[in-house]
Amino acid sequence: MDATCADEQARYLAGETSAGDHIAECDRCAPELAGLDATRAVLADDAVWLEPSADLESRIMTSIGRAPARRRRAFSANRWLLAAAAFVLGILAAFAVQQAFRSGGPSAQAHLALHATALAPAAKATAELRNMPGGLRIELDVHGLGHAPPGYFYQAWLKGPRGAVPIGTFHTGTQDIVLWSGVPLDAYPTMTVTLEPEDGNPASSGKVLLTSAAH
Amino acid sequence: MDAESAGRELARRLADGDVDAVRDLYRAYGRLAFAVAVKVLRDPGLAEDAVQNAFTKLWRSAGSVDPERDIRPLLFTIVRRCAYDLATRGRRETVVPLASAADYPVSDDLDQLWTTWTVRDAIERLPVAERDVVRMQHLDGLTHADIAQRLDVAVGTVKSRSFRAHKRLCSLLSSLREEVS
Repeated sequence: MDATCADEQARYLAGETSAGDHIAECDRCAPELAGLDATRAVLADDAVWLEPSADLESRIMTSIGRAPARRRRAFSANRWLLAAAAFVLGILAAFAVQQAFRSGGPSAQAHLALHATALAPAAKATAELRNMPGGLRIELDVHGLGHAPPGYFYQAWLKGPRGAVPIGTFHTGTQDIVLWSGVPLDAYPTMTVTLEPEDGNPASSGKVLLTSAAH
Repeated sequence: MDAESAGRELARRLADGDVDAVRDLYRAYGRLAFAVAVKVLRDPGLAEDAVQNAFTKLWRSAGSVDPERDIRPLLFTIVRRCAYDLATRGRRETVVPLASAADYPVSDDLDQLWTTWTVRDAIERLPVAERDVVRMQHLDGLTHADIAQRLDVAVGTVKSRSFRAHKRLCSLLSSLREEVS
């Protein structure tokens, strides 16, 4: 951009000239017109000028410092028993899947049944998993889950003690959805399906629609 | 260190579990996050709650932050979601009915909010004297003469500051859009 165009764009942004004076008529500047107008609108909005309270930083740091401790304090004796029971069931499920894989060799199959959560009460799914040279091949049959809303998609995960690993996305519940996992099922024994927004954020939204975990 | 490298460095520190990274992240981008939250909520008090929720959520999911990627787009997304969550008042994210998931606005609002983020970022990089002139021109709608009187400086000084500030803004906004695209 030459000096003249840079100066003209600055003057237009400052509101000192109108689009017809140069910006709209210039091949280099015209593509910038929409962006300059959007910027002028934002500069006139107090949202971009307001300052947060001086103590917001300390409130955030206090909140972060409290967060882990709050989760620990929230566990009552009953919750510990439930957590222990879920852990044992998870171990048994992982063992069963592991045995199914081991006894069948490199191309062994395993099956998972996924049940609905409150977010998608009519949905259900089954997964057939097969060890392949490239990883774990998963064929998912999904029923009762319509097309994802505009701007959203479904994502499948394998979850275990080390965290959650994404294994593929799809947009409609149907049969023969093929997914792939680079991690073993015995280390990530739980499969879930979540609803995700198209915002580029790789982290799970937390909106779980289907899960193979024990009820 | 350029802005993108700084963003990646903060992501790396966050992923490593460095709690001081949260403080540095707030000092670098807290005002930008606040601007986005105010744009959504139109209430500074609620906007502060949204920002607090966003940084807390980011810390809780620090283990899944990609240490190789600039943290800014992720922070923008999280604060936007937290602001919208507060805007729906009382609807907890984990129980949002499937049919209502599309109520979270996309595209047009996203562009507007991202412009708010980048403009606030650019404003923060202006010298204070230039920033004040820009604010008085655009937010307060003052003329150069009004601003000169308020600041007790010559009109020519105001014009110079305004021209330099707007030229700097054009340049900053162009490079910021390229960096994070």
